[in-house]
Amino acid sequence: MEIKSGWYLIEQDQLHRVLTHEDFAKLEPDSYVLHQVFETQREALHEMSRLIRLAIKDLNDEVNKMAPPRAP
Amino acid sequence: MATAGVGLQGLWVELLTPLTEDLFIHHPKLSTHVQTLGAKGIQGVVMFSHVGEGDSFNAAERLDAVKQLMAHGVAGKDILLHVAFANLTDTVKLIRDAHELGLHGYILTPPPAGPEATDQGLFNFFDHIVQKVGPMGVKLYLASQTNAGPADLNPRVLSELLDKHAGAFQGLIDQSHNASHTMDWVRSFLPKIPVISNQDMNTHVLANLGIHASLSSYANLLPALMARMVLSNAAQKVSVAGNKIGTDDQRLEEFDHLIQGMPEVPALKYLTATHYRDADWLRVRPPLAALNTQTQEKLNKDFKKYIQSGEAR
Repeated sequence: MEIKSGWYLIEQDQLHRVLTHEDFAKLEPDSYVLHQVFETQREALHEMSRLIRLAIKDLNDEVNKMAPPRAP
Repeated sequence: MATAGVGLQGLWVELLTPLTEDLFIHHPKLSTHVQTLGAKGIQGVVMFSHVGEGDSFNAAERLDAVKQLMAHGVAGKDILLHVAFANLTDTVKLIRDAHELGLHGYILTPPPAGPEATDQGLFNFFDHIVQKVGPMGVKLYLASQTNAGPADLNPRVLSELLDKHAGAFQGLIDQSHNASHTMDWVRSFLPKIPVISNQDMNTHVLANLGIHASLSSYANLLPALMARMVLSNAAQKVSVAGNKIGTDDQRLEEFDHLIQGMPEVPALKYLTATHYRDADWLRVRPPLAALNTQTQEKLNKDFKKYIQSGEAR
């Protein structure tokens, strides 16, 4: 199946990025994790924001788990 | 790429079908899923198979989904469509309506039949379909039932159909969960017509026999691993029993073990929802139901372990 266009949402060096098909094709194999391919840049950016919000929430939950319980 | 005039090759993913809140097909999510799989090296997609909840979608919904996918840039030649219904007319109509879209082909399975079903009746069913759509030059694939029953395709019916309609059928697809059934079909029919399996655990065995084509449901989640399995015919290790075992085989077995004993569609949808971090993927059309909370938690824990133990996606 040939994918000729689209916007690629990837994770590289612990950062989310949205790339064009052309820029994606230039990446070193195994230097990234491909999340999803979207038809428009808007959809890809929207998904990236959602994933970042989820990552922040995960981190928040982790920190809260480690925090000592508040004194009454 | 799938090439016109050449039989099925490579990894074809039996798509899960994402649903909206009101249980209609979520076309944008389906399109994104397919584009993502395409970027990960699959050859094509199979729509409305058992894992795509095919029985839950009528002809109009199936045709609309194909059109929407093509409108989002997926080529018709990269799509195989399940067109099985309990009646002849819906199957014939769907093939005719989809014909101008130039799909790679159409998959036929025996209709559900009661105790009065006979081999002659089954032969007549497929014979009628071929007579109606064969002259259009469409590529047809004959598939066994997912749960083999008395009205399933058997060697006698298959032989008669292949004798009468040589050239109309491009391949046989064994959907049984029985590896020896697959091997029986390979032995009986392979010289005459390609035999393909949609059982992920058979992929490597068939690849070692030179059959580098597979329909895979696990590839919704493991496209890279399954693509390697389909193409490979060498393995790195040999088991005590002398069977060749590779790292990919082990990863596949581990994955298979994760969902063993669970209903396949809800389990795969749950894992897809986890993978995309998108709860919309959990939805299934009744009478299927999502996994219960306890099973979800167990699967989530096991899947995390699986991911941490090796990257094979």
